[in-house]
Amino acid sequence: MQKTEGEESKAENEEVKQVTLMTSDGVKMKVEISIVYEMEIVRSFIEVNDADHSVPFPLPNVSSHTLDLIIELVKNEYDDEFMKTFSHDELKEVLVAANYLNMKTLLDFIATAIANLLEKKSVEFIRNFFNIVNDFTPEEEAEIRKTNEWVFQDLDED
Amino acid sequence: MQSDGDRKEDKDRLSYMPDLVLLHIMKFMSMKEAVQTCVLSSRWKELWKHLTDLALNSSDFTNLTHFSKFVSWVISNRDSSISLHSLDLRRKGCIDHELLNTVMGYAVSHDVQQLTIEVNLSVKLGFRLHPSVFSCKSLTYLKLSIWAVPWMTQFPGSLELPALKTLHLEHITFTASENDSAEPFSTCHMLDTLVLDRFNLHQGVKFLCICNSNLSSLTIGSTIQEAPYKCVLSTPNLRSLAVMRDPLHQLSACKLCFLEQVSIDCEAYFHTHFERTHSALINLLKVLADYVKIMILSSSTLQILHGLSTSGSMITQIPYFAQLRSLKLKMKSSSNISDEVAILYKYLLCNRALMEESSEQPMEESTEQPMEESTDQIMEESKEETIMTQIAGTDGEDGRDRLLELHDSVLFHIIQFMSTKTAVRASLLSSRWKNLWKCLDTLRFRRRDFETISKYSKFISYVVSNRDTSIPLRHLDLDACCVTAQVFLADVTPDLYRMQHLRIFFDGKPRSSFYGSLPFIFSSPALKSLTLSIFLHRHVLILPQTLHLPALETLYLANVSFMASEDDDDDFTCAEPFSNCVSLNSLELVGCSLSGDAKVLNISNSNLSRFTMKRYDEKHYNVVMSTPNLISFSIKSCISCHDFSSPYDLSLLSDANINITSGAIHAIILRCLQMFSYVRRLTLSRNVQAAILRGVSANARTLLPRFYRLKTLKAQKIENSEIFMKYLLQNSQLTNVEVISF
Repeated sequence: MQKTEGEESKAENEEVKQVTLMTSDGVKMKVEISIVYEMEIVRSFIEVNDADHSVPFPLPNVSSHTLDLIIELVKNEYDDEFMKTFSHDELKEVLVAANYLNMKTLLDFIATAIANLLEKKSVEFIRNFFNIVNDFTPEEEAEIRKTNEWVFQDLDED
Repeated sequence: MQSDGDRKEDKDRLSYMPDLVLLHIMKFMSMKEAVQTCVLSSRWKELWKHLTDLALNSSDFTNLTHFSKFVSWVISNRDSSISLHSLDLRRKGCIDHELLNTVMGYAVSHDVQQLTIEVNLSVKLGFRLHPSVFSCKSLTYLKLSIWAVPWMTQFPGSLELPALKTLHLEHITFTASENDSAEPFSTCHMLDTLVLDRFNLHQGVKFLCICNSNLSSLTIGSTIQEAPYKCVLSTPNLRSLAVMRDPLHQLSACKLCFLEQVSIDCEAYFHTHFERTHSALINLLKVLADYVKIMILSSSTLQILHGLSTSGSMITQIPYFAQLRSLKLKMKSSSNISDEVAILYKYLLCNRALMEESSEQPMEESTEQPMEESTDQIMEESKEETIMTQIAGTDGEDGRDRLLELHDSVLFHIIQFMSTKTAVRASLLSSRWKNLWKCLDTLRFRRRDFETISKYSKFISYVVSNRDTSIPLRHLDLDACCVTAQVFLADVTPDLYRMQHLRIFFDGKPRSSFYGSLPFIFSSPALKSLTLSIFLHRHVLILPQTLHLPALETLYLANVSFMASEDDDDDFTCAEPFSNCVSLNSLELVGCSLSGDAKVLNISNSNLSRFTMKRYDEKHYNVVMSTPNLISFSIKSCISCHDFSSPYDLSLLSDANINITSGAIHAIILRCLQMFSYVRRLTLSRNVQAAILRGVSANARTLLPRFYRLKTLKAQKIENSEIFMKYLLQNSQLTNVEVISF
């Protein structure tokens, strides 16, 4: 982890260009520039300032665990099998981060995955997933259920 | 000796390189250099004439007269039977307008897709640009920057550019389309990006209406207009707006629900303009305040806002930005950062802080310590510095709470990918979600999601009568298995004009209205992917002679029939339906037949890279692969395949797969193999291997092709692989071919 300055600059010359990102939990991570370029929010800054990439770029809304997952996803060219290992919380973390970092391909990928996950799930399951507070009165809810009852049939068990 | 051999092999490889590759290299040269290659050898002499991208730039020439001569010479000597992809003309000094007309006329008559003209003109009164450029069906990108003295270039009242995606205009005078308003863009249904700079309105024109339902990015620079005019934005799909130099005077706009980013960089050059610019700027902010999520302001813009206000009046004038998430300040020259940041907070966020009493905490923090927060992110640069302030998203909170803060557009984005049934079900989640699905531009109706066909029909009726019909459909996935679905398809026929993805599955007896909507499908200019799977009882759907689908990239057709085209031979025996699908990349045909006298299916398309064909029980016919760009070829069948051939050497073909499970015929398979000289990976089923080996006894040595690049053979249950390989490669000089049995 700890290198002297000389070693570090030597390594940078030889290896792929990297950018240091600092996550919300204070971890500094070196990330390949090709991956960073997918993050529009970081990219716009790197391009304005073509200078020192060793100064950590702060990402106050992304944890190191989420950033790890994102890097793996991009490296594996958005592998479905890898994403199936994610917990629901991880899926949501990646969604929030993809939106914040403005990563278009990742956002589409994760949105498709969440859409597939929620297909055939009950309203209660989806509320729970998005942490949505049901602000309908029981009468309003019954009314909506009644107007298109066929939508609420043939669902999977939660 | 060794090195000699190597060199020989190198030479060989170079001369095997197909013309297409050499032409691709020449694309990256200036036109002057490209033409110079004609002296290299006899092969190169004519090669530049086949270029489809012409970059004509006077900076490559020291003498402008020579440049003009060069342009005329290139135009008259290029192979005019080949259409143009792009033409880029840039010239310093005043160009002769006849030459300009010739170049533009040539581009249009050669179906140019991307046209850039940056020239100066000295014109006579009444001069008009070559009118055909404003009705060019093939154009997707157009940039006109024609600085004409003493009159500016006049622009027609409306454009007929159905494929245009990007339009960049400088030094243009807009004329009225009717009465006193100019509305030139409403007919460009594919327009995505529009840039207007240094424009002018023709005498008597009082309104500039930018009316376009597809436009997502708009940049407006200054006008050189002195007389007042009104600008009307009717652009419901707008995502990004940039205003440069001069704020739009008297702007009014429709609802801009999708507006994400606004960038404003205004300047007031004279003190007399200050007040006018200031009030225009306040009006601009008021129009956008309800929608903008990310705002970028330049320091000069901030100074205009600041300059005329006492702090009291400012608070009342600046609107409340309801959805603002991020505010960026673009610094110019060496202005004092801390002052600018202080002004920014004081004026632009004041209303927000006042209104959001409940969430005061983070706001107060940032107003008190603007310097500390910004110093982390200040990007040192000589001329421009950017400061970014994140408004939403405080640290240390868990993902669940941040999920609640996610903007509707992200949740909306997720339900776009769901079946419509699930999307409608989401209306029960909460009042925020109740009507979200009504704005979807994607509908996916699948029969399998419903227990009975009557429930499926009822659901379609419910969706059709409740969705917001002002939102055009872009993506439709429809099982048209009931009357309701067929009626719906007929009703959305006008939307087919803008549809990007369409899948129709049909099995049964169609109503007549079903046929009514079909012709529109085959001339839909925006369609990118089309899947038609149509099983009719005792009938077959006959497709038009030619499909006019310029944006189509992916096409899947099952159980349809092709008819011979009239403009072909006198005896009408050749069907050639795909030649006008200029963007087609992937084509799959399943159980498709020929109708009438047609005997040959000509897959004629210079863009196609993937082709798959499955034969069921349709009558045998000939298929001609006129597809010079083909990369992957695959056939599947259980009763031998159709008879394939190609007039090209298919030098880019890298994967080929013949999977026939019974009845493979030796002669047909060998003719098919003739197309595979350049293939890298070849996959053959067991039945196909047997058919090839049937030639061992016959004297068929010359029929097998010479494989140049074969690396891998995948063969089903191959037994005597050595014998088979020896026979297959009898005309090839290859030794290291890997054989994989599967």
